[in-house]
Amino acid sequence: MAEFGTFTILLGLAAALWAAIAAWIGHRRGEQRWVRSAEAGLHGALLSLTVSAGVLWTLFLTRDFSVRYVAEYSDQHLSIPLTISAFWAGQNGSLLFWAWVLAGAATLVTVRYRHRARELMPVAVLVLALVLVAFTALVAFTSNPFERLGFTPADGAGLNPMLQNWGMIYHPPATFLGYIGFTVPFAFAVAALVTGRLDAAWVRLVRPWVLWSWVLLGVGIILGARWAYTELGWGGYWAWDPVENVSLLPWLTATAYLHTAVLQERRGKLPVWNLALTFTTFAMTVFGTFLVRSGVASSVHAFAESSAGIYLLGLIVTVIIAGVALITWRLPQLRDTSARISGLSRELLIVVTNAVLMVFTLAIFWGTLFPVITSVVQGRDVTVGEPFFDLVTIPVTLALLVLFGLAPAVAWRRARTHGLQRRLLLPVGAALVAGLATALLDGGRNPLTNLTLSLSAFALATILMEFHLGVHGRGLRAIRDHIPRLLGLFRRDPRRYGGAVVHLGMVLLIIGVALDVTYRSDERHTMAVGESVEVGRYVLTFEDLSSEMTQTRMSLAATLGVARQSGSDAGSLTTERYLNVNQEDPRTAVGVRSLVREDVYVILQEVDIDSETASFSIHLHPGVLWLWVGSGLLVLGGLLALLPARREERVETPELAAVAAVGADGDEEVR
Amino acid sequence: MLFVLAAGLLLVAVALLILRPLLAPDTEVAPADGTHVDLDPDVDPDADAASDTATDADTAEGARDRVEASEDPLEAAIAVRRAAMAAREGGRR
Repeated sequence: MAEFGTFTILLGLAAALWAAIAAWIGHRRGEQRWVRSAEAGLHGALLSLTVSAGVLWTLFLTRDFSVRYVAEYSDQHLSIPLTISAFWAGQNGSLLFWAWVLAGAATLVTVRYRHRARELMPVAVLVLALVLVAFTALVAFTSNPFERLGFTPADGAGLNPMLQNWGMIYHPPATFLGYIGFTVPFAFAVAALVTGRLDAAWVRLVRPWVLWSWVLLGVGIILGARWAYTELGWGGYWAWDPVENVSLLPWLTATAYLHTAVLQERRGKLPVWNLALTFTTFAMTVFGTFLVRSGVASSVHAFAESSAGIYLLGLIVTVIIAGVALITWRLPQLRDTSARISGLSRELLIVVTNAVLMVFTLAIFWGTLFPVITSVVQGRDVTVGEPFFDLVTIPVTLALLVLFGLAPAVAWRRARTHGLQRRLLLPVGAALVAGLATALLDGGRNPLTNLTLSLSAFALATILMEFHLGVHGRGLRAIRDHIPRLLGLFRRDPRRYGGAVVHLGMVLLIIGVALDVTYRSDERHTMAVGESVEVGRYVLTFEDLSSEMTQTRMSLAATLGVARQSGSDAGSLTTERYLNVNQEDPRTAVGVRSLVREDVYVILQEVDIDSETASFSIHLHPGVLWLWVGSGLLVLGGLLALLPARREERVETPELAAVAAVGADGDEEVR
Repeated sequence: MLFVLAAGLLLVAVALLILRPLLAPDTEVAPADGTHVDLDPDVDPDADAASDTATDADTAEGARDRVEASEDPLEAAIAVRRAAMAAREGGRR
């Protein structure tokens, strides 16, 4: 069966190669049948790679340990969901997953854009096919998951204990889907350059792909942070780990692109910059893959060193050279002929936002790459840690908060000073009140946090005013009309209001992080069952200690009751120490009780069963709930921005009102 | 043996998939009268929608006739709206 799996990968590679050749011929000769055949080649690759994926899952589920990859990443005791997720636990499977999803994305492109982008399709198909060839070849020649061991061990080595978690099922696929989706905008950017169709058509075409990928990568990053926070037991959600950083890089460049793409669509501005950002975003996704698979980065996420790294490096270099060459070639046609941006305007803010995001991207890129370069060039290990990243993150965050606050208040083309003053009066007041209040509350010991919260209040006020103005328009409306009007905003202008929700989410996220980083506390207590301790404004009672032993797992679980000092009950939490079969060291499951003001976060450290005492590390994380709420809004805003815009209906007569109602129910023809 | 058969079937399926468009005549053909016609069996959904609108609305007069014949105010309103759209379409052309 494993040999059949290898055959399907090779067939997928052949189909992708055919797609590239046929697309090239179709482009050169201008014959649709060759383009159709190229598209069919991508469909064939998807078919073959789907069978490959099916074969690998079958090998995992039938516990065929004669296959090296299955033996390395699973064992007899691994649960079915985790066995399914073992597919992407190692390099070979994750690269196959990558190639498979890429073939799926390419197929979707051929189906969706076959007629809408006839001129661009041959080259777009060519690029998608070439990238697919690169990844499928990587699987076939450097990372074949169907390689046999030569003998059949009685059991597998098992999945890395750190990966034996529900997060393993959804975090890697979401991140991969985000990464892979950025290949499509890259393909169309190349197609626009090659064909000379350099207007905003390609930008409009790829917008849903960029936005979907941005959302999915965002979901992947957030889920990873949540996984780290709730399961890994170090009390944090972001460690500036190299692989975390490289997932942030394409997300940041895509964020920058989503802003400047609007300028190209509306004003024909920054065409070169948008192309460069599309190339950079794709190159960053490959860079992330390279860093994880080359063995150069030391990370919880990294796979063992392999020859795949050098091929991926080659792909990055090719993308950069191709990008620079194509843009240089088309530079005369890419001149920005629109009116210059002058004075304070939404356009200027978008450009400034881009500059801030680029500074942040470059700093993270440098902080991630510097240890790698030092290790390769000088042969010594250097770590770039939190202080460096904080140094950059804090000013960037403050600048972004100002921009979030100004953006809704500043008009396109040129803002009028009088109107701007009127719209910013309330937000500036909110900022002053918030700054003063927080400074008074903590005695001015944390001026940076006070400033962050003050600017957050400024941003929140302008964003909420944006919704308020949208709902009320020029006149007051009945309260019962608010919800339909609010929902109507997203139907009328999903980009604008979806974007506002994203900004709202970012502000809440920043508030959550600022509160947590500044005011978190950590105490260690040893308690016997029945004893209580006071931590902050809570009383924690050690209610129960239980043990459980199954064929695959031994665990000790401590349950703690959480009450406020006022006496009101705030629920309970359970923290565990457990040892899985095939595992050397016991691991900890964190107990978290999320409350509006803060999270009570408890880690079971040591247990003395005889005396029924246990020691706990008890953390209070203020504001963390807002981090997750903000993250949720970030994703929701992205999804809302994907909604198709509807033109506002002008209803003048009762009859037409009835028609409008029919139209709203989905009759697209009647508007 | 089963896997050899499966591999063979998969190979044939992929080969047929990629060869089929090449064996068919090219979809872009120029008819004798010189006008360019796209004979692609897959029709552009956007073009479809536009032609549907035109067909449904046919002419403003026809729509008005239907309105007069109708006793249902909703249907009448829909027809009026469609007629207006058809008129607008005609104006554009």
